[in-house]
Amino acid sequence: MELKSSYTNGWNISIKTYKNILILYGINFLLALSFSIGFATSSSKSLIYNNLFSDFQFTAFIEFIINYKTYLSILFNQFLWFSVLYMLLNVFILGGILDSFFYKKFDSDRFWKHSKMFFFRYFKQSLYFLILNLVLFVLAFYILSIIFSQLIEKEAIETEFILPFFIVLSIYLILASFLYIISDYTKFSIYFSESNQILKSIWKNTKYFIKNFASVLILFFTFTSIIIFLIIFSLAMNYWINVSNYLSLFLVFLMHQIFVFVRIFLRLWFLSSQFSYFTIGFNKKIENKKAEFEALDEKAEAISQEKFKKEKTVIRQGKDERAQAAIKDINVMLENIQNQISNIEKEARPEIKAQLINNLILASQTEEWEMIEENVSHIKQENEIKRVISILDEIKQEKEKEKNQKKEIFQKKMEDDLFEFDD
Amino acid sequence: MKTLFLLFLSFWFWQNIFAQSSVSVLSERIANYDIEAVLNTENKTITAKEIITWKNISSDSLNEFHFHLYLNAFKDNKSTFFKNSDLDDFTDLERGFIEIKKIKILKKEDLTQKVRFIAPDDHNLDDKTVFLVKTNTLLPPDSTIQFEIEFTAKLPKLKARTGFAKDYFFVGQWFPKIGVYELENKVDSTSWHWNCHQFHSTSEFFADFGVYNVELTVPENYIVGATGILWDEKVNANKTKTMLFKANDVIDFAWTASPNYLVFSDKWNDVVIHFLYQKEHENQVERHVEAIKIALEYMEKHVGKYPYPAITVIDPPFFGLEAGGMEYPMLITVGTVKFLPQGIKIPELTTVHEFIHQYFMGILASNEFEEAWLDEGFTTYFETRIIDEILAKNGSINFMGFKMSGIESRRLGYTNMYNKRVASVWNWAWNFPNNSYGNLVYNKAACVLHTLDGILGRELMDRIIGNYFDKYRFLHPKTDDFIDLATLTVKNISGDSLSNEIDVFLEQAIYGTQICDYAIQSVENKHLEKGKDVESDGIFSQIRVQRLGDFQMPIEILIHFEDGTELTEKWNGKSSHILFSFKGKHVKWAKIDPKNKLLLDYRFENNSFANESQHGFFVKYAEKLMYWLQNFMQFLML
Ligand SMILES: [Zn+2]
Repeated sequence: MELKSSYTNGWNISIKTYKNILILYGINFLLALSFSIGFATSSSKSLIYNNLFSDFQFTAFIEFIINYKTYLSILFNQFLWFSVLYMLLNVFILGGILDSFFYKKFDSDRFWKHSKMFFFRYFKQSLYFLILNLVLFVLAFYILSIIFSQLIEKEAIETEFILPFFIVLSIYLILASFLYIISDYTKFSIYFSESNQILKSIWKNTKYFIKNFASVLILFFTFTSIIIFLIIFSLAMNYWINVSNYLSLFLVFLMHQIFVFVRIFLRLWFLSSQFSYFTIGFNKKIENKKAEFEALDEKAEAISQEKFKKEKTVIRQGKDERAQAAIKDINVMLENIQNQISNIEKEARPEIKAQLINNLILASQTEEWEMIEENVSHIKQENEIKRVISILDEIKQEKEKEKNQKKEIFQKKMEDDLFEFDD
Repeated sequence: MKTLFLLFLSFWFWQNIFAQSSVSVLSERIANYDIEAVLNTENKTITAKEIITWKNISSDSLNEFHFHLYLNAFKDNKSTFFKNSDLDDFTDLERGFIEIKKIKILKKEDLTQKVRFIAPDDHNLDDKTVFLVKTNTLLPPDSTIQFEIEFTAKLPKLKARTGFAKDYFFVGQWFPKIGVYELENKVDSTSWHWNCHQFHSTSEFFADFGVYNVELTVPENYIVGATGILWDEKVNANKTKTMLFKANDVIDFAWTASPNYLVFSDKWNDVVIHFLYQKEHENQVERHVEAIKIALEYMEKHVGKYPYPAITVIDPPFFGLEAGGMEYPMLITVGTVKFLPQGIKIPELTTVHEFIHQYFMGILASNEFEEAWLDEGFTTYFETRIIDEILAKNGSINFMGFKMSGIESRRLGYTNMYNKRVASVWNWAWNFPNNSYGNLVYNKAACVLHTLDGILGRELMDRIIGNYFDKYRFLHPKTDDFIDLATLTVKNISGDSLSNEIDVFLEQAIYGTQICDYAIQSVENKHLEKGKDVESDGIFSQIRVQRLGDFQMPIEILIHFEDGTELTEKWNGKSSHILFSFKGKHVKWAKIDPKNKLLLDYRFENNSFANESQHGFFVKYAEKLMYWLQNFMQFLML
C-alpha cells in the first residue's frame, strides 16, 4: 500500500514540480550544447569526411582522429570537465529539489535558498558515495583479476571464465545498486534532519535500507528496468535510423533530446517516489512520537507543579539568599521553553519538529529543577520571599498561558501536516 | 575385428588418394626425412630417431653440413631468440631443448663428437640453434648422403608457437633439420653456400622440399593431426598407438596431439579437409570449414592449383592459443573463442590467412628469414582480398556500428607507424627495428601489392601472380624473380611505359623506405576582369597539387566542376608540385586518386579539396558527441 502510493505520490509530486525537470534538462542541454557547438561549426576542405556523414568508414574515421588529435584531446578533457560541472550543479540544486518535493510545489525563492543551504552537505555526501563506488569498483576489478590470473595459471578454457565473471559482475552490480539506493535515502534524511554528520546519516540510512529492503529494492528495480528498456529502445532506434542527410539528422537530434528529457523525468519521478516512500514512513514515526510527547508532557507538567509548590514552601521558610538566582534560573528556563516552543511552531519539517519536541521533553527531565530547589532554600527575607513568590506566580501563569496557546497551535499544525501526507 | 576392417578400409582409401596425388613428383626432393618419434606426455619429451636423406644438387663437393636445432631457442635466456623476445624467464619445466644423442652417416662415420655449434647471424656463442658437422669424406655433386640422428626433444611450455600446455601438444620445429645449400643471392652468382639461420623471435623458416615419413607414437587416447596424411595406424601393447604420416614435396613437418580434439572432416573437390577442434568450439566449426573452402576456391581460381591431397586445420584450446595462427605444410593452426560474435571475423581471417600460406610459404617457399614479405606480404594481400570480397563484405569487424574492412585494418598498421622509414619491406627478418617487422612485412607489403593491383587492374595483377606461381612453385623464388616477372608480363601486355613505371614503383616500394603522400593544396576560383594580363572577363580556376613525400609515382586527379562535368588529369608525380588551370569554369572540388588505388599514400585526408567547406560530418558527430555527453552526465548524477 505504502509502496503503491509512493509511485502515484511520486508521479504527482514530479508533475507538480515540473520546473525541476525543466531546470535539470536545461542545464544538461546547455552544457552539452556549449560542449559540442564548436565541433558542430567546424568544417573541412577535404571530401574524405563526407564518407562519415552518409555511413561509417573506418579509414576516414582514422584520418579524422589523426588530423584532429589535439582538438580531440581538448574535447575529451572538456567532456570530463563538463561532466564534473554537471555533477556539481546537480549536487547544488538537490536541496532545492527535495524542498520542492516536500512542499509539493516549486517556489523559486525557497528553491535557491535551500539549494544554497544544503550544498556543502550534499557535496560531502556525493563525495563519500563517489569514494565508496570507486572502492567497490576497484575491489571487484581486483577480485576478478585474481580469479582470472588463477584460471590462466591452471590453464582453463574460455568457458570457465564466464561463470566467475558473471558472479563477480552480478555481486558488483547488486552492491552498486545498494549503494545507489542508500545514497538516495541519505539525501532525504539529510534534508529532514539538516544534519552535518553525513557519515552518521549514511549509517542510519544503511539501517533504513536493510529495514525496508524489499520495498526500496522494488522501487529501484521498477525505475531501473524502465530506464534500461528505454536505453535499449533508443539504441535500437539509432540502429534503425540511418543518418544520411540533414533531415534525418534533425529527426535523430529530436529523438535524442526526447530521450534525454524522458530520462531526466524518469529520474525525478524515481527520486520523488522514493522521497514519498521515505516521508510516509517518517510520518508514522512522528505520530508515534506525538503520543509519546504528550504523555511525557503531562508527566513533566505534574512534576513542575509539585516543584513549584515545594519552592513556594521553601521560600516562605525564609531561605532567600539565592532567591534572585533561583528566579533568574526559572526565568531562563521558562524563556527557554518558550523559545523552543516557538521554534517547534516555526518548523515545517517533521523530523526536525520531532527532534525539537524531544529536546523539550528531555529538558523537563533534567536535574535543573532540583538545583533550583536547593538554591531557593537559601532565601531568607520574608518580604522578599513574598515578592519573589508573587513574581514567580505571575511569570509562571503568564508562561503557562503562552505555552498552552502555543501547544495548541503546534498540535493543530502537526495534525494538518500529517493529514496532508496521506493524500 | 569390425573396427580393424574399417581401419583397413580407411587406409586403403587414403593410400588410393595418396597414390593418385603422388604420381607426379612435384619438387626436387632434396631433403627427405624418415622419423620415428615417441611422445612422452608426462615428461613432455619426444624421443626420436631420424634418417635425413639429402641430395647435393650443387656443383660443389661437400664435407660440411649445417643443421637447425630450432628447439634450443627455448633452452635458456641466453639464446638469440630469447634475448629478442619479450618472454619472461622459463622455469625448468617450461624450458625446451633438443639434444643430439647420436649423429652418424648411415652405417658409416659417427659424427657425434664433431657437432659444433655456430651462430652465423649474430655470433652469439650461447645460441645453440645451428650446428655443423664435418665429414671425413667428400660428397660429390648429384649424390646423396644419409644422416642417422638419434635425439631427444624436450618441448617448451607453449609460449611461442610450439610446445605443450597441460595435455595439449603442438609440436613444430622439433627435429634436427638440415639447412639449405644454395647459390648465393647475388646477380649471376655461381658460388654456393649454406643458408642456415639461427632461430630468431621474429623470423620464420626456410627449407628444401622433400618426402616425410613420420611415425608418431602417442598415448592411445590422443587424437593426432599432422602434416601430410595418415598412412597407417596400429595400437601397441603399452596403451599407446603408432601412426604413420606421409607427406610429399613439403618443406616441414608439424603435428599436434591432444586427448580433447574432436574431428570434423569434409571435402572440397579432391582436397580432404580435417578440422581438429575443441569441444567448446562446436559452434565455430562451420565458420572455419566455410572459410577454408572459400579460400581453396579463391586461390585455385586466382593463383593456381592446390597440389596436396589434404589440409588439416587445428583449433587450439584457449590455454594453447599461442599455437594458433601459424602455418605449416598441409597443416595450419587457427584460433577462436566460444563466444566470438559473427560480426568479428577473426576465425575466418586467420583460417584464410594461414591457408594462403600454403601457396607462398608452402609451395613457393621463399626464404622467410631473408625475404619474409614474399610470404607474409602476398598472404596478407590475398587474405584481404578474400575477406573483403567474399567472406566479410560488410567488414572484417562489424560490431555495434563499428565497421572495418580487412585492408583498412592492415593499411592502418602501416600508415600509423611512428617511423615509416625505419626499414624497407625487403629486409632480413630479425633486422627490423622497433617491432616494425609485422607492419612492414605484412601490412606495408599488402598495401604495396594492393597499390600495384590498382595500377595494373585486377586481371593483369592476377596474371602476374598466376605466372609467378606457375613458374616458381617448389623453387624458392626471390624478390627479384617476382619483380622481373612482373615487369616482363606488364611489358608483354601493356608495353614499356607501364612496365617501367611498375619497375620504378616496386623498386621504391620494396627496396626503398620512401613514403608516399600526394596532396591537393588549393582550389581557387577567381573572377577576373579584362585588363593588362587578362584577355577577357571570366572565371579562372586553379588547382595546386603537391608531392609531400619522396615516393614518386604517377597519379590521377579528378576535377569536378560546378556545372557537374568532370575531368581526369594525369601527372607523373615527379616534381614537387603541379598547377592545373581552367578558364570559364568554376571548380567545385578536386580529388587525387579518385578510385582509391594508391593505398600506399599514407594520408587520404589531403587527397581531396573542395572549394566550399564541408560541414556534414561535423554536424553529425557534434550531435553524437552532444548526445553522448548528455547521457554520460545523466548516468553520473541524480
Ligand atoms: Zn602469416
